[in-house]
This record gives sequence, structure tokens and C-alpha cells, in this order.
Amino acid sequence: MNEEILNEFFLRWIHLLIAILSISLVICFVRLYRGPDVPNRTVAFDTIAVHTVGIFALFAILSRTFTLLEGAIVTAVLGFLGTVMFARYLERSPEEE
Amino acid sequence: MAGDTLRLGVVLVVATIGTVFMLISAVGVLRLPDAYTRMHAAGKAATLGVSGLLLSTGLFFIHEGQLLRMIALIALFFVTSPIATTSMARAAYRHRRSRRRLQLRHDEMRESSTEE
Repeated sequence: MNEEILNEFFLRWIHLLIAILSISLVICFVRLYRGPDVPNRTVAFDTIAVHTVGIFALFAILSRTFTLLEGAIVTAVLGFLGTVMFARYLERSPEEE
Repeated sequence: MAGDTLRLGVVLVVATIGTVFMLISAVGVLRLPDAYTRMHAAGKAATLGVSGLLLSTGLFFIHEGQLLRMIALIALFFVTSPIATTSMARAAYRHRRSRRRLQLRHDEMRESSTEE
């Protein structure tokens, strides 16, 4: 009985953490929408990629399947490559005005 | 069973610390005034937050042998995050429209920049 209550509390707490992380992801999307120029949007993209890895990890805890962690690894590498690609594009692009 | 409960408690504490740091990082990205200070929030606080989350996941799946892989992923983040932040900062500096908005007393990249 006590074990069941502890397990229930654990699952509820992980749900709460996923909710907080989703709110924080929405805040990053606000910056992606309102960013005045492309470098600010690149920063927002990097933060969104890191948040995605965090949500992957918490969801793997919640559903007790550690196979999802492979997806977290792939998402981390792809986020890094995307950020570096955006930075290269900004650096090589012809300057405006 | 007591060891198992202790392990779940440690998982909860570390995951909560990681989530709070991720929230601080997102608020910093939203509220700070400049692209460079936003990189400051996105580069360090987010790395610490995701390290906490991945460490708690590795502790949760420690009987399945996932802790070493999660530590390798944390090491990957600690390697790639400064590289990404440095290349973003250099790109934002060379992007001319954001340079005009810069408020610096001493510009260190002007001497090392080859384009001017």
C-alpha cells in the first residue's frame, strides 16, 4: 500500500515537471516568434533543441521505456548540427542594406 | 526496497533542479536585452539543466545499464554547447544589422576581424 502511494507520487511529480518544461518551451517559442532578427532566432532554436532533449528524458522516465533515449541522443546531435548550420549561413550570407 | 525508494527520491530531486534551471534559461532567453546576453542564458543554464535531467534519467534506468550512456550524452553536451555558442556569437557579430545595436565599451573582435 505504501509502495503504491509512493509510486503514484513519483508519477504525479514527473507529470508536473513535464508541464513546467512545456511552459518553458512555449517561452522559447515566443522568442522564436518575436525575435527582431536572425541571430536571436538562432539562439531560440538552440534553446528549443536542448528543451526537446529534456522532454525526451522525462518522457522516457514516465513511460519506463529506455529505448526512447536513443531518440534523445539523435535529437541532441541534430540540434547541434542545426545550430552550427544556421551560424554558418549567417556568417556567409551577404550583408543587407 | 528502501534503497529503491532512496533512488527514486534522488531522481526526483535531480530532475527538479534540472527543470528549474531549464525554466531559468528560457526566461533569460525571453527577457534579456541583447542577442549576446541571450546566448549567455542559452549556453550555460540550459547545459546545466539538461545535465540534471539526463543524470536523473540515468539514475532511474541504472539497472538497465543506461547510466554510462547518459553520462556520455552529458559529456557530448559539455563539448558541443560552447562550440555552438561561440559560432553563434561570431555569426551575430559579423551580421551587420545586429552589430549596430551593440553597446560595448571595448570591442575585442574588431582587431581580430579580417574583413575590415
